[in-house]
Amino acid sequence: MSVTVRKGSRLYSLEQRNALEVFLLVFVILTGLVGLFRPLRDAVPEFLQILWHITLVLGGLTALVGMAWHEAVTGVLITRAGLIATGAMAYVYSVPIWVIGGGPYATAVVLGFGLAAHTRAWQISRQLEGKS
Amino acid sequence: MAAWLQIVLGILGLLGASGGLYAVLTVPQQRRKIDADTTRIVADTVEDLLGSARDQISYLKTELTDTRQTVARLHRASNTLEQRLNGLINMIHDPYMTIDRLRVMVPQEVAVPNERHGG
Repeated sequence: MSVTVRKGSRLYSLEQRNALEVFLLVFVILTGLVGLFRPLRDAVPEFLQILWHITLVLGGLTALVGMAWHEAVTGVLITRAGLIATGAMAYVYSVPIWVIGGGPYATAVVLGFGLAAHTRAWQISRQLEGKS
Repeated sequence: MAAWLQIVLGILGLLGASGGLYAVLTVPQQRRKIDADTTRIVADTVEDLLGSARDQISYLKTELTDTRQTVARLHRASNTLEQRLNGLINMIHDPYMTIDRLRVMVPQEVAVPNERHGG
């Protein structure tokens, strides 16, 4: 399943099921599930952890459902919605990680995930508008 | 972690999550908008192509009319010339025709009308 997008005068096929993206989203869902059942101790506030992990699970699932959607354009719209949620929550979660002394590496991983998710969402928007 | 920061982060987190939820809920609406845009683009493209085709057909109709008129004019001229040629042949084969009479008659007979031919 693919979406055909226009770049200038050329048409390209937008593959929905990028293997690396699928792996990362499955990993995100698993991380969220593990975090829900085994929260971190004395670190990030509990409600933020719950919100973060629920968003990871639901956002990741939404994005994966979008990738598996039978109709391409609706599929990428659903994927974009999942990425918007997980990306936004990643920015929020990176702050307490930094504040509690999680270090630059952990902060950068979470923040980078948020940036990557939103970059992908932006790319989808651009491609659907035929601007990329 | 400070309580105010927790509150701010909580609000931001809820906003982010609700943004994703909003994006999911508006998928059908966005899909309809994309469909409408696509339909509009296709309709515009078809309209452009039809307009171009109409112009071409109009041009070709004009060309065809001009060509038919030219053919009709040439056909009439050909008939006239054929009749005059037959007349000249008859005059030449006339047993009472002399060369002097022929010289007098032919310049008048072969005077071709000054018709302009062209498209």
